[in-house]
Formats: sequence, structure tokens, C-alpha cells
Amino acid sequence: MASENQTTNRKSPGSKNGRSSRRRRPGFQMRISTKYAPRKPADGQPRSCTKDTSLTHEQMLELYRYLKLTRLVEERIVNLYRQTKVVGGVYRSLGQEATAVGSAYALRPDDFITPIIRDLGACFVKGIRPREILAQYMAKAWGPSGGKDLNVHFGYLDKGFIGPISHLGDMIPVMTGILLGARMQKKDIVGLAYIGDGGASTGAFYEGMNFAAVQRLPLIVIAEHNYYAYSTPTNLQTAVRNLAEKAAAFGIPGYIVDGNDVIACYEVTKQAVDYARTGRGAVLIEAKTYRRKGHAEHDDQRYVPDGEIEYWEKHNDPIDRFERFLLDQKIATKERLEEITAEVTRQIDEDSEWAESSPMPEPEGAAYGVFDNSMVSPAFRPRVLEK
Amino acid sequence: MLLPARRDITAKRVFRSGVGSPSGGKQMGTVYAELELANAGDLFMHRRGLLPEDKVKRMNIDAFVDSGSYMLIITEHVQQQLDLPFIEEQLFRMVDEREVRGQVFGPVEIRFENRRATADAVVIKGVTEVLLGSIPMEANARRIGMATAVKKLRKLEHPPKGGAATMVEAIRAGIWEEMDRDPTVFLIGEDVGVYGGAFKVTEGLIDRFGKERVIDTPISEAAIVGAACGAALMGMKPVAEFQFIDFISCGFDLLTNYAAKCRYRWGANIPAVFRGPCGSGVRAGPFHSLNAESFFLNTAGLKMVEPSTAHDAKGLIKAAIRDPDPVLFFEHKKLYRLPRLREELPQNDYIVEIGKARTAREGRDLSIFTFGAMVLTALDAAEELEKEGLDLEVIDLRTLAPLDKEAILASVKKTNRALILHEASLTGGIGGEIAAIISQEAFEWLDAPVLRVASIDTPVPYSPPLEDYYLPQVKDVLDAARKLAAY
Repeated sequence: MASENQTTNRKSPGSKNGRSSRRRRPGFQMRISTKYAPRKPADGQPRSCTKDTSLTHEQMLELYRYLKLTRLVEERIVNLYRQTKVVGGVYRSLGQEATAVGSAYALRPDDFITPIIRDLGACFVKGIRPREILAQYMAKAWGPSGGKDLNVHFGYLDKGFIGPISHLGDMIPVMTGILLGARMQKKDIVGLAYIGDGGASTGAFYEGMNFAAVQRLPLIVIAEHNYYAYSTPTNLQTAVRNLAEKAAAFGIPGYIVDGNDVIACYEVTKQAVDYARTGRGAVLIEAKTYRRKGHAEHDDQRYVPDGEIEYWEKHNDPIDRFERFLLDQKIATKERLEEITAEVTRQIDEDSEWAESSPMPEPEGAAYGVFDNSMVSPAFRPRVLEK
Repeated sequence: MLLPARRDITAKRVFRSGVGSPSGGKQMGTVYAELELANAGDLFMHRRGLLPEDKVKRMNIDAFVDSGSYMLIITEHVQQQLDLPFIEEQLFRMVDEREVRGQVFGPVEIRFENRRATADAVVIKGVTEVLLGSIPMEANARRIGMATAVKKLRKLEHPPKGGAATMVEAIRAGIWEEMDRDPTVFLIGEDVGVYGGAFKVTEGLIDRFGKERVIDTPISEAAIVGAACGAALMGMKPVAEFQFIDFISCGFDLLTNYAAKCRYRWGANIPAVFRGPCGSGVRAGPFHSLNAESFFLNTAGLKMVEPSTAHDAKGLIKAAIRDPDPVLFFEHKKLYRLPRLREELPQNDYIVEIGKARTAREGRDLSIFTFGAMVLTALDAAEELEKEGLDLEVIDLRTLAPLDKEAILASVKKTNRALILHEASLTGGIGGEIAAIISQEAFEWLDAPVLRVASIDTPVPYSPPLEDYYLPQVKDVLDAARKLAAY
């Protein structure tokens, strides 16, 4: 940075909000906000949620609905898996639902997200219906990818939803490009991309974040620190103590948030969204959470120390915490919460039925859609025995 | 709109009027530098670091500034933000002879590197971009400044529609025309901006289209490919450059897993072009000589083209940009400035359809299937063999995926002998695929086995004797063709 750009911070007298004043760029200074980081509760007190919030009661109940929806849809998928109706693997976000739901809730409808597999809650917030997810898992023709790809691997451009691919980190540069395109189109959207403690070790993650930071694009990356990447613990993944410290490598601000506190996740993302949308560039948020299930349903978690899962289940379940918060703060009664849960279950029953009633795709459908088929014909299997 | 598109003004002014021109007086002088193309208003202020400081207003610009008298055409918004004092109202004559009224404010200090100039700021209603121009004062014209300005602006000149062009000029003209035609087309890559790309394919495009549409990136091929894909999802048409096609390996994952599969997985278009210099024979060693087609041949969802003439290069780059699917566009670096390839290009806006081969030479006795620089090798061999009474047909494939099977089979059925020639190593090369197509679908027409001539199965060596041994030479083609003919 030229030194002249750092000499003053005065506000322009003519500007409304002082944004034309020269801004200090972070340089090598590490800027990590820990305002919403996990705190040890006072002795004997069970964990609750951040009380200081701009959310209305209605909004909080909506958050509760998304949390329950995520957990119960996943449970339904597991049931279907055990009935061998799910063709591929099942990836749970049990115990970390609050990160996805709270963060995605801070976006505008026209903002973009690209989740990873453990962000089902973010997909629902973005308007994806449970039936679509269920049909995807069961490889049905009515799923958004028509049986060509799995689980959340699809997208709706009009909803600002870009599904991930299995190659972790790749979606960070893709989201950077979405924001680059949006800037050329003069749209003031922000992009929220999720990554895990494992995915944050990939080259694509670094390249994408670095490019977004250089271009000052409104990219918000939520790094979900859930202790395990498949079976590999975070200390074999990275030498930093907090993933948020990686922000220093890009010259962008980092945040640490309690990923099991849905309100904290909302508030911290809201801050980041405001920061990014006003042209100040990218943000890295580390959400501390815990993956209570294995990498996929088949994983027996033999690598997890005894008692660890039980500890998190008992003392730091995001839905328990939020329920406690809602009841303690008298935002909702137990009956109201049960009502919401019943509504969610009804919806899942209905959607599950719909998804199960979908046919499987026609085999020949595999040949279509590699290219624009008006220019290149579908890739039909050659019939070698025909003359 | 009071003014035509901003960039048109810029180009016209240089050549139609100028500082110190006889019209003098109130004529707006040569606009010879453009400020950063930025969103008007806040973003501009923020990004360029505009800052009021006491009475003189300062700004950094990327434009040429010489000492002398200047005026700065600014937007009303910028004027308000800077809180500049009003001086007077003046009449300005535009290039198209219209007179417009502008309000003069000032002064503003303009700085570029260690040079400074003071200028009055002019607000003309309807002008929404910030421009830098010389002040309309005939007496203050500075010849030296002008010369520099014109030199800088030469690059802004639209490349000629037709006329003689080398391959590099043809590709540049094709990209330029598409960027002119379609505002969603943009460039992204390493050193593609001010430097104009390692081979100058994108030279001058940043001056014409600005930094917003000619984006210099970090050394991050994954970011380049990923960002191109993301922007393409938003409806943009990226033209991404690999500095050398060897570096496509660093973007391989996103190309093969993301770009190639988006349409198949969820019906999303990725109308992006990924281009770069390929090919060996220029003593560039193991990391700057790659022919990458066979890495991608087994990936469904990527189209691949490689021209061997200036005409096809322009037509194919335009077709690739307009194509709704991702296209890898290989440019053989040996051909970029080869005088032999300089040819007259049509005046019209033509494209060369992707998926169609070209008969580079008609013949009866034997077909050579090839592409890129090897087309020239094949043509040289054909000329040599003509003396021996052998009439060779040379098919320039042009598109490597999807292959033009019809053209390949038609030629085999005509000559009954097939020879495949390519620069990449033999094993696993595209030649094997072509040979398989021929033997499976035209076996009954063959009078001889299908032969392949390709590079040996090693990396591309650096030293000339080694590289010449590695690469197929005319002599290798002659030997193979004679053997085939005698079979």
C-alpha cells in the first residue's frame, strides 16, 4: 500500500457516510473478532444463546423451524437409507445445524450461497424444499438433477443457490466468479460460501479467497470447524489454532463464532454481510461446532475419543440450547415449539410421500445434456450389432 | 443521451480533432486518457482514493498526465462529493459539432506517479463517466504530450475488420469484435491487462474495455477457471487465458469437474472459453510446450478446438465465445506470427462452426488427419510426395471434441488409406481414438492399416536436436505415407 493511503482517516465533508474517506487497509495486522466466540458458561449453567439480537420473535421462531426441519429431514433420510431407498451415502449435520441456518438467515433473497454437504439447513433457508432433497437422495427422476447427481449437488440460479461438488474448496473460486459477474452487472449481492476445517486445506480455497480479497469482492466464507474431516482431526489438518487466523493470509477480517449458537451465527454473518455489501471486501468466519455423526452413515467413528460425542450431545446441542433460550426468554411456550415440530413433521411426511412416488429416471436419459443438444446430439450407446 | 458511447468519443477525438487544432477556442480538445472504469459515484470515490484536502482536490489516476492545462470531465455526483467551487458556465463543441453547455468547477489536482497537473473539472449533463481531457486552450497545446497521447491511443484503435492478418492478430481481432458486440464478454487471466498477455493476444483490450472487463488475476489457475465458471453462471461470457497451456493442469480439477459437468448435473450453462498457447517445436522445454487435448478427450462436456490458419482462428474464437458450452481453445504458439499464415480475412462478421473439419488439401491416394502446426508439416509432405506421383489429402480437424466423424469417414472412404499425425505423445493420444473410429466404422474401405505418426513417449525436451527427435518431422510423414501407399 502506498503510504499516502494510510495517512488520514478524515471523513469527506461532502459524503453522507464518510465512505469516500481513505480507509486503513488491514495490512499484516490480524483482525479477528471474538465477540461471538464460544464462552464457557458460568458454573452449572447450561448453555443458551446470545441475548443481544435484532431478530424479532417471529424470526426466531422461523429459525427454530429451520433447525427442526434440518434435523428431522436428516432423520427421515436415515430411515429411508435403512430401508435401502437411498442409493448413495447419507451425510449428517447433526449437532451443527445452527451454523448453516443462522448464517444463511442473514442473507437477502437475491444473495447467493454455496453450501457443503453439512449445510442442509442453509439450503432450506434459501428456499429448497425437503421433497427435492429427498428425491435427490433416492436418485429419483423428479429430483432437481433428474437422478444425475446426489443430495445437495444441484442449483437454482434464480434462488441464489449453487450446489457444491464433492471436490472441497472448488466452490470458493466459483463463488468468487459469481460475485465478479454480479459486479459487472452492477448487482449489489453478496456470496456466502461454506467450507470445513478439512476443505480449508485445499489449494482452491486459498486461490479463491485470495482472488476475492484482491478484487475486494463481497465474499463471506463460513469455515465450519467441526473437529473432524472424515476421520482426520483438525490438528492433523492445520497448525493454526483457529481457522479464522487464516484470514490474515488474505488481508481480510476474521471472525470466530459459536457455531452452536444460532443467534450468534446470524448476528456475526449479518455484520459480515453489511461489511461486504458496502464494498469493503471479503470476510472469513470460523464457526466452532462439532460433528456428532461420522463422515457418512457407514462410518463407525472409531477414531473419536470415548465420551466426546456424548459430551457435545448433552451439553452443547444447538437445538437444545435454542429451545432453552426461547423458553427462558419467554419467546415461545413449550406448546408452541411442539406445534412447530408437528408442522415440520407433517411437511416431511407429505414431501417424503411425494418423493417416494416419483419414478426412477428413464435409462436413456443418461445420454442427454452433456452439451447443448441442439448443437451436439445426445451420447447414445452405440448399437454395435445393428447394420 | 448527449454523447455516444464513451469509448467511441475517445477514439474519434484523437483522430478528428486535437489540441491546438484550427477550430481552437471552445472546442473540447483531445480526450487522451480515460480514468478507471468504475461504477459512478461512491465506488469510484472509494476505489480511487479520492480525498479532499484543503483547497486542492487530489486524485490518483492510472492515466498519462503531463504538465500543462487539462480539464477533467466529471459526473455531477463526483462534483458534489468533492464539494468543488463553481467557476463559470462554458460552451463546448463536441466532435460531432454539437454545442453543449458545461459547468466548470475547480481546481482539481491530478497525480500520476511523480507527475502532477492541475485541472478544472467540467460537469456536462448526460455524461456519466469520468474522463480526462486537455483544456480547450489552443495556446497551451503541448506537442510532446500529444505525441505520447496518440501513441497510447493507437492501441485503442479497432483492429481492421478484414485485411491481412497473422494468427495472433486474427485471434485478437476476434476477441475484440466479440467484446464490442456483446457486453457480457470479458477477459480474465494472468498479465492479460496492461501487459497484453505473454503473447500479446490481448494487447490494448484493457485500454479499450477497461479493468472491469479485462481482469488481471493472481497466479491462480484454479481461481481463474473457477471464477470464469461462476461468472458464466451469472450470464457472463468469460474468455479465460492460460499463460501457457501447460498450466491448464493447475485448473484441471475445476475444468473437468465443474465446467464440464454443470450442464449434465443440473442443466446450467457454462458459456466460457479457456484459451492459451500450446505446442512444441519452439525450444521451450518440458513446461512450456504441452499439447493438452488428450488429457481432456476423456472428459465429457468440454469442447476443444485448435486452428491452423488465421481465418479459422478468428472464426473459431468467435464461435467459441458464442458457444453455450465450455470450449478449450488451443493456439499453437509457433503459428502466432508465422508469416506463412498471414492471409486476407473476410470483411464480414464470420464464424467457423465448431465440430466441422476442413479439407486443407484435396487428394485421392491417402488421407492425413491432423491439426494445429502439424497441418503445415502434412502439407509440406504432400507437396514432396506429389513429385513422386502420390496425391495426398490433408484434413485439418480444427475441432478435437466433438470430432467430425463424418468428415473423417468420408475422406477414408475416398482414399482408402489413413494416416494420423499429431504433436502430442503417441500413447494415449487423440490419434488412437481417430484410428479406432476408422477401423470400427470404415474397416471395409481400408486398403492398408491405419498408421499414426506422433511424438515419442517422453516429456518435451529442450535442446534443439532432442526436440527435433521428439517431434514428428516432414521426413517421418514421408516415410509413413510411402509405406502406406506401398502396402
